[in-house]
Amino acid sequence: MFREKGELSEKIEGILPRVAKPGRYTGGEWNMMVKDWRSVEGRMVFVFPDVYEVGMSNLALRIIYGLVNADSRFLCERAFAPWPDMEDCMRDEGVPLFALESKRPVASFDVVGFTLQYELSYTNVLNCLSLAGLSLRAENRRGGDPWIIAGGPCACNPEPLAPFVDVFFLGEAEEQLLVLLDILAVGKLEQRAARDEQACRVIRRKTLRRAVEVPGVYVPEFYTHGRGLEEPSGIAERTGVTTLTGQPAPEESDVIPAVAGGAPYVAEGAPELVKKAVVRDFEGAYFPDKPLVPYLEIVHDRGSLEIMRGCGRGCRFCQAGMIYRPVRERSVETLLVQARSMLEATGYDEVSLVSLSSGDYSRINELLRGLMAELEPRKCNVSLPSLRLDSFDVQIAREVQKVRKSGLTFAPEAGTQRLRDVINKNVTDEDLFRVAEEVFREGWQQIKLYYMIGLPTETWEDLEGIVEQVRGVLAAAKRAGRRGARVTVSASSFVPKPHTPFQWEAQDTPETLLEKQAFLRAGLKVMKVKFSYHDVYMSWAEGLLARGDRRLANVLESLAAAGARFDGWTEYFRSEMWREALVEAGVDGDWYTSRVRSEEERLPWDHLDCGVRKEILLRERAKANALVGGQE
Amino acid sequence: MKVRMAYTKKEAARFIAHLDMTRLFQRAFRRAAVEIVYSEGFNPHPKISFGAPLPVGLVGEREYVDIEVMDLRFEHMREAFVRLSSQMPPGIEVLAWQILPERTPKLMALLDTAVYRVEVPIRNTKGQERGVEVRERLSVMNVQTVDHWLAQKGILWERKKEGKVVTLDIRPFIRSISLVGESPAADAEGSSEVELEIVTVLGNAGSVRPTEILGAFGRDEGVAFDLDRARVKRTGVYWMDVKGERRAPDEV
Repeated sequence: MFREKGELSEKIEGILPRVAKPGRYTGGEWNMMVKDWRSVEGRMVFVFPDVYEVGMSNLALRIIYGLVNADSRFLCERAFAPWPDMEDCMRDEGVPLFALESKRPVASFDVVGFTLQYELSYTNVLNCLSLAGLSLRAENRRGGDPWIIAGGPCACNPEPLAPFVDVFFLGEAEEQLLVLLDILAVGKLEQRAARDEQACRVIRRKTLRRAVEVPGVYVPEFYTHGRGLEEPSGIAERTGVTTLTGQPAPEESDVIPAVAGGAPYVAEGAPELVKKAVVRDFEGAYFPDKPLVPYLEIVHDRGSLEIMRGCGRGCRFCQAGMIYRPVRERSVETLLVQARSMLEATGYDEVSLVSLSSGDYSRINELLRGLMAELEPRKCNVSLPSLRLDSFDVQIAREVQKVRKSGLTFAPEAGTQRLRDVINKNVTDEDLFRVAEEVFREGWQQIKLYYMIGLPTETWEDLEGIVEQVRGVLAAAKRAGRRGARVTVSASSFVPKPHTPFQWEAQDTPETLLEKQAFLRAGLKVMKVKFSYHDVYMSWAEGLLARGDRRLANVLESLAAAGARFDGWTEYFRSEMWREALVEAGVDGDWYTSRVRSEEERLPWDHLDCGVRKEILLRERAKANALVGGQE
Repeated sequence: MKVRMAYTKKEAARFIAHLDMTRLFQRAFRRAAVEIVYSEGFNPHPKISFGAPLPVGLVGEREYVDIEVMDLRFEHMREAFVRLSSQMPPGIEVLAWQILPERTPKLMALLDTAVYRVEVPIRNTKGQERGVEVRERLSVMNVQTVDHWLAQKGILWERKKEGKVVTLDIRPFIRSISLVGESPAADAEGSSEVELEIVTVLGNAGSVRPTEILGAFGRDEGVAFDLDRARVKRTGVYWMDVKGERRAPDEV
């Protein structure tokens, strides 16, 4: 009798025929790295808290997977949040969250690393911990359990997840992650050899103290107030809180952790201000030239070439533009070598240039010419997803979209010049209409326009401006002789983010956003323009977590207990569940989202330095506020 | 020039969806620097065509694909084959390839027969003494019962597809069912296991999965097949020549 030998454990193999897209759970992708478990000192599993197709498209996964595996001391495997059909089967059959490479349980690794790409994946983080069979709260985990670490853009305010995570990593991994892994691996080895849990706790403390010396490392349990350091997850009551120095906590210590005055709230040895890690040598930094090649179609199914990190534009709403500074470029020569080796190793037929604003790359024309020369004989394409309107060059677009003239995307973000000045988006109506006419003449059939609604200082006039602008683009199409051109409009809801000049602003309530969406829908309907927008309650939940503090951990915990998962997916997000969880935890959600915060208030992320100083943010905010009512 | 390639689809690779196989070959060929020919037109696509899709999760021991590649010199064929073999993911093994003569019928038009091997446990539903029961249950799979079952005019089966149920007659798709082996009591529950060879019809009219056939047989003859635990592999796909003999797709 035959039996497949494959590396799938029998239980998983038994489940796969029953679930959709089993290829999400098999591993075995081209360029997958399977290292011998015993040949290394530290074993990490990178967990992407969303479905495979999303996680596999993420550049951080590609970089960290390659970076860690390239070091002979470590191995790195992968796990993704299983889709609910798979999760249900796994729970039925008692299959814990497992790594795709070795099919080992996630709980058997030394380090479990989550990437926090968007706030609504936090419930999946908790669900993954639960599926792995681990206690959610760090204080309840034991010495034999893995370290839980987390990084990514949302780590710049990770407070809602603080009690669940041992170590956050702020900033860029390439130069510091291996240093951190080494410390954690040694600690885990010692813990495994320890006599008892008491000894494990001592080792834990010692290891974390070593870890905080690594740039970018933030150990949340070292930052607290209220009952003091011995109860790291102790949550301060809103009144009557005393600090270690015996003084009553200042009013703004409602926001946890309050490190006002510094030292009393910070454990000895931990820095008062945690600075994000920045790659000094971007040119020579690790580049994944043998990325995994999946079989099932993922969201970004192509090779990624990171041409630039950081963005110098300074759009005031944009968190990425703030936290990825400074701006650094890779040389054309290096990029051409990287493109070639990546294509040879993957067989991809498309290379995508990754950056926050590719048109700002100083040698963009030279790079594109070089790439086309390299790629055309191989019949490969270049895609340039983040072209900005003001740097838009029809010549560039013509170069890269030789074959397909499917569609171009522009992001004016706001409908009036005043509001664009408020957000510091330097695009004019004339820019847009001129470029639109040009690209329609060049033969493009479709233009997508991206806007945000709910921006600070927005008025109905600004929304009317969006409608007017769309009318202008349609007129440009007409002038170009393309009556059949399609214009689609997408309006996302603005969510104030930490470390931006808008971090103090109130977020529009779901009700207000619904009104604004209805206004736009009506205005655009007459023009027969396709209009898409975001779920307002999801934006509200995103805003809650984005600027939240540690009290939201209780909310997340009760959400997880209620079975919340895939909250970033419209079909799984349930706003009632969130409201119930807030009530249960006794937390007023609007206090986080709908309130203009005072500039004196200590913010939950004030002890985290993500590159832009608060004075600069305040200055930018003042500039934006100076433009209020300029039209009135 | 067109090449016909025989390959396996095993291990983790058996969970790759049929639609994803095109992309898999495209990328493997690129890595191996064997250039695939693309169609002309607005939306060029690679000239890759399969015979009968292999359902996800099933092992394929010898599957076929036709791929049009840029002309290779004869003396480079061997080298290209080696390169290509080294670029296939685990579970996909290139068994053979050959250049197709002009006007060879497409796989899709050629293939009319699929042969499956199925190992399937039979649950002990009566909970009786093991030895006796096993023999009794296996006896339902003997030649007479199968022939008798197949002698029916039509065999209706309800296929669930995207939430809808479609009733179809599966009898026309079944060529034969034969018992290859049987093993009693593999586990404590006293279940047994049979190994079967099932031969089905391939063609434009559709196809039927071996598990559907067993589902219908079990329903009609009262056999509790544990289809969730069935292990199914397709050992080959064939075409019938004028004498009614099975021939492999490379025998053209």
